[in-house]
Amino acid sequence: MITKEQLKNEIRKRFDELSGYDFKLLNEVFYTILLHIYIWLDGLWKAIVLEFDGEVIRRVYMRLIASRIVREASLVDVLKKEELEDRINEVYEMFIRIFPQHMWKEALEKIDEEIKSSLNTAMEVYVITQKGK
Amino acid sequence: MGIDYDIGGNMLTKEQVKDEIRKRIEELGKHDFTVLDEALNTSTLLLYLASSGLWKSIAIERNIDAIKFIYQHVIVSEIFRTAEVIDALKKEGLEKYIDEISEMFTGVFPQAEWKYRLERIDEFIYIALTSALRMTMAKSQGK
Repeated sequence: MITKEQLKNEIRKRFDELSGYDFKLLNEVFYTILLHIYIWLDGLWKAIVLEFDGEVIRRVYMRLIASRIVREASLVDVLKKEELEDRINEVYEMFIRIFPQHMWKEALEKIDEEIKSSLNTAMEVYVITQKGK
Repeated sequence: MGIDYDIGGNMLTKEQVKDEIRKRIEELGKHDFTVLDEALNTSTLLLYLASSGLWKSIAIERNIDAIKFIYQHVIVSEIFRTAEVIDALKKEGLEKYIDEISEMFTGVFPQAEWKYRLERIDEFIYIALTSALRMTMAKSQGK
């Protein structure tokens, strides 16, 4: 079971780790996750609007948290320390309110999977763009 | 550039909704691919910002009005995405997309809201298109 403090540190770790990547690459990752959110909202509209399926809504927001982490990480260099803390707190608050504590570990792992898979996709696009193909 | 659709009557039928959506896709399909792609990105970004800002209402309170608001954005993105590929679609392909969008529209919004929601969707289309045209023009001028 992860504690609140551990969770905040885990979110911070991801910000720090991702902020080492190039801005353009992170922007590409952000748009890749955004596309995933859009495709999900499009495909799951019945479950969200008509059935209010909490699990489906959580899955959409899991991706939204992944995209927030990437977006904020791309801005780390231009944010003041307090601003960065505010962003971490916002993501953290969203996380703890959406997922019950027993799901935190699993949700974090899924968020990591989403970031990793979008990073791989973005990396391919980024390499092609850099080569000017 | 401003598209002013005259949506007749107060209570639309399913068939009218489908025609209204078709009209918008065909009208937008006349724009350049680059502009529509830019508009799709803009509308998806607006969708993201709305989902991000409304997370408490949606994920915690399950507020149906907030969810409907998000789906206005999803429908706008769908309209742009379809308009973008209109030239590459066969007639049946286009009809399939129009059917899907109409089903989502009539499934998400109650009939009494159809006219109002179409008007809101038109506003979002206008915002995304205006912003995309400015962006494309600036890029083509190398700014």
